[in-house]
Amino acid sequence: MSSATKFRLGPKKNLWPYLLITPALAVILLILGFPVFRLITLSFQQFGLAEIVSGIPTWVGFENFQALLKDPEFWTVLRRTFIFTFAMVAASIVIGAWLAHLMLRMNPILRWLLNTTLILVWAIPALVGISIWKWMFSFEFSIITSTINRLGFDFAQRNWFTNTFSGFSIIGGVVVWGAIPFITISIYAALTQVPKELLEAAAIDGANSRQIFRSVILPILLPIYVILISLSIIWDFQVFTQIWVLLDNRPASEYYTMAIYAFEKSFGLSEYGMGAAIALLMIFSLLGVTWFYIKKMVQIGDGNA
Amino acid sequence: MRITRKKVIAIISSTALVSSLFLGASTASAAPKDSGTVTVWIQGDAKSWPAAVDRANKMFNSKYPNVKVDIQYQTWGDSLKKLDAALVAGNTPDVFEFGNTQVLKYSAAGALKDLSSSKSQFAYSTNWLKGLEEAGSYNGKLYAVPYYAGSRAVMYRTDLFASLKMKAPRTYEQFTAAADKLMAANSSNSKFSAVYMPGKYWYAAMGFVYDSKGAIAVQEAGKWKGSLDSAASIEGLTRWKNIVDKYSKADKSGDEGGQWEVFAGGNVAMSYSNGWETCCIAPQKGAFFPMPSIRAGEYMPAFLGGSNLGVPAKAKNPEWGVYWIKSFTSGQAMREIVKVGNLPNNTSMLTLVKGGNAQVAKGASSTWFVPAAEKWVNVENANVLQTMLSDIATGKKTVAQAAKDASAEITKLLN
Amino acid sequence: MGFPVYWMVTTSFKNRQDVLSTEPTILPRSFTIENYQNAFSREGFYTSLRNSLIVVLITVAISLFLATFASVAIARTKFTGKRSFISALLIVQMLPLSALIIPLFLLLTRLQLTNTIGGLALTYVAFILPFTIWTLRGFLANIPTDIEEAALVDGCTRVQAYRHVLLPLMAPGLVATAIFAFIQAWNEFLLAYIIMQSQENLTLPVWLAGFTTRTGTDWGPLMAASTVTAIPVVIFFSLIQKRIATGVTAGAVKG
Repeated sequence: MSSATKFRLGPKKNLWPYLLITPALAVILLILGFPVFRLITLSFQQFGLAEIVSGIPTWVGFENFQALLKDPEFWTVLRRTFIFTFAMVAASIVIGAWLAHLMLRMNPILRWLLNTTLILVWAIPALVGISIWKWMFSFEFSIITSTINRLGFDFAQRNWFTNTFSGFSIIGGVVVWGAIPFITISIYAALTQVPKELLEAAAIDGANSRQIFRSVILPILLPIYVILISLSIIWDFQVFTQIWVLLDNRPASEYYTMAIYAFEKSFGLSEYGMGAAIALLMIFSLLGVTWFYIKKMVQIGDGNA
Repeated sequence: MRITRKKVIAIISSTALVSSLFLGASTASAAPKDSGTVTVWIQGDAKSWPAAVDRANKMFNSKYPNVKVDIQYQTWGDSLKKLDAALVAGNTPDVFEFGNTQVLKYSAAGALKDLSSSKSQFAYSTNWLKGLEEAGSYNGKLYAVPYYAGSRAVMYRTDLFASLKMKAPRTYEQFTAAADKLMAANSSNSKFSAVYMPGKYWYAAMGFVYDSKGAIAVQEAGKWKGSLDSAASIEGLTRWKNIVDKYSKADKSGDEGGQWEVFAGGNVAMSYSNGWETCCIAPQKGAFFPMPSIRAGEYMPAFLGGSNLGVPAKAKNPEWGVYWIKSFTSGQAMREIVKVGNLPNNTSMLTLVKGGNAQVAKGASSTWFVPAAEKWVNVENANVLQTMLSDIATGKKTVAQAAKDASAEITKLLN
Repeated sequence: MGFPVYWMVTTSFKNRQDVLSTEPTILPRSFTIENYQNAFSREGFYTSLRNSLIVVLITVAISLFLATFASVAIARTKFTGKRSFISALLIVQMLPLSALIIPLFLLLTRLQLTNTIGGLALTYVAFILPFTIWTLRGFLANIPTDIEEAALVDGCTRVQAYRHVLLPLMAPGLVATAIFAFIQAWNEFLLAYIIMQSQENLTLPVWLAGFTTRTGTDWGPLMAASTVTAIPVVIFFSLIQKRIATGVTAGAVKG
């Protein structure tokens, strides 16, 4: 029996894979199994303070879902969230990848500097980082305003968030700023796995950098890109803190994204049944959008044995 | 019979099993035991008056020497979420601090223990500040004891006033006259505000409304009706808009968070501020005067912010919780809280407020509070008042139109 | 990119007046260490630092350990249920925390894991595993199977093959996921706030939140405290980052 087939015995006889995944699976099931189940049952219940006090949930069937799907604001917010999410994901991935490739070519000192900066940005507590950005764009204390003024332009004190486009750009910018370190470092780590010989061979063969990227780098990096994109979509879709803090804990309805909407309509009111329904709808929407990526991932994952 | 290890184990475990049945059968009810731990969840702000906490613990332990006091400081943002989680899991604290605008929902849902029968035990309970007592009550019953309060008055630059030979205004006319003078004297400074009034400062704006005898909402035949569109309310709103237009360079779409930072910067002569804001305005020198009402001799109603302390209905040690609250709101402890610049929970001790805050305390005899509607929190969450005010301040809508829209929205949300 | 970091650090050294100046300048105008003194003297700093370190190191260790095994299973073996397992991993990532927090707390209460460092760490692990498993799988997939087969032919047992051949080659992936796990756990606030109950069990993010009260935020000391909070991450990163730079095939194909 060759060593190669040792791993490839029919699934019936080989318990090895199951042993390998059991610990991880056990932890995930233990911690998340019950909560997910409860989330689903909650979505069919009214579970506010009255129910919390009595301990008895009120079953309302599909009422929560109906109320949401009939609410025009829900659809507006959903659409707005998607557009906002895609913009942020595109920016994060493009800039992150560009930085990662740049790092590959940098001299070691510069690379170390960039790495450390990225890690510091990643390490700043989220609230602190966001508050600093808020400060930089505040009405009276904006260093941006004062710098522009110092440069000679007459720039009055302004509220950067009255205009929703400007506001969302800033919020999106802050989210992207926070997302880049993770993306860059992950892509860079994956890039180091590309065998130098292949790169050199392709260069010798006369391929330009775009062709090298497509035929040499991309196949190796595909799994990383796929998961970074899916994760970015999932996380950016649920962005809450940045909007909340930058808008002084009181975002106007034009700034509602799904997470804020969920808070205002459910969690902020201690209505956890409605909150669960919104959460499930959010998951379905996400599934719909990332379906392509998930299928790809399952294919990739499956195809490697 | 040989005693094998197996047999020993069997005997021990069956004994344990049987005894656990009996132990489990003993009541875990609220019958006070002699020792244990009382769990107190109050906000981290209390770290600024540690002497009050110490006194409370001493007084508590003199009655319950074998009970440990476990104080866990919370953060404002997510404390209600934590309370909800605790309620669901059946593991609640014995004392919880609510912001006075947060507690009504919990009282109405029956989440808190009815403290009406214990009311007389609490110090100064006959003289509690109305704003706090209303907040902690529901349907005539007391659910959360008043803890401390903050109020607002006008903080002004003593040096600017002195340079223009002005004294602190005592009537509304004197107030606007002073503002006019200040604007004239500083007309070359485009950033100068005689009265700093951000566009979404609803605590201030509603004071004007209530001063004109208007209201946010009133109850009619058991239903709530938004009343910002009444003539009285509109008069108040119009006066407020005048202040914004004539005297303020503040953000017309911003709120009052951090306004003391702007005061400290030097371009503000008067701001409608909380008592504690004098802490942080260095190098400027500020003092307070109560905001005058349009009726001579009275003060404009100020919003009483503050906290209440409640005992969750399912707390494990409610008797200890109540006694700890009694200790923490006792005269001795309250004195320490007042020393640091807060307002006490009762009117009798208002005169104890020293220094700059004394003027704030003076004005605290005239207050307003949000409508005691169970669904009030929905109005706050939907930002109805802030949106209305910034629409008025920016000129997006006329006062009448904005008030009408807001009232309709409030009526819808409160019912 | 790094401007906010620069701002945080310089502000931490500014005196009170400069912190609140309405004419902020890019170059700091003052220097003082009073903010640091203030931050360190606050109750709970050392305990929350200790707690955070313990929680995070446990989280990183356990998640890396479990993820390595699971990723080997996905990258190197076939088994029924593999597709479902992978899909489950990805769907777990979509669960919004705020919706799950109440049932999660209920579960942890039943398991008596609330207010314990182990309980918090275990929860973190559950949320971190999907990404870590997937990333390690990716790194593994790029390592040709010939290498471990060569080791097996050379007489190694399977375990030895993993330890001496596979693991070193997976190093960059392990580093990236270790950093990810570290930072996720280090800066996490909501779960730490809800799950930990006593003052001795606070983690750093919860302690940091205490700088903001009803009366506003103490900026100077907060910036000082945040700067200090960021340092362990940088240390952790520098300790393990050398591994990222090494190429994969350098040592492997030679034998």
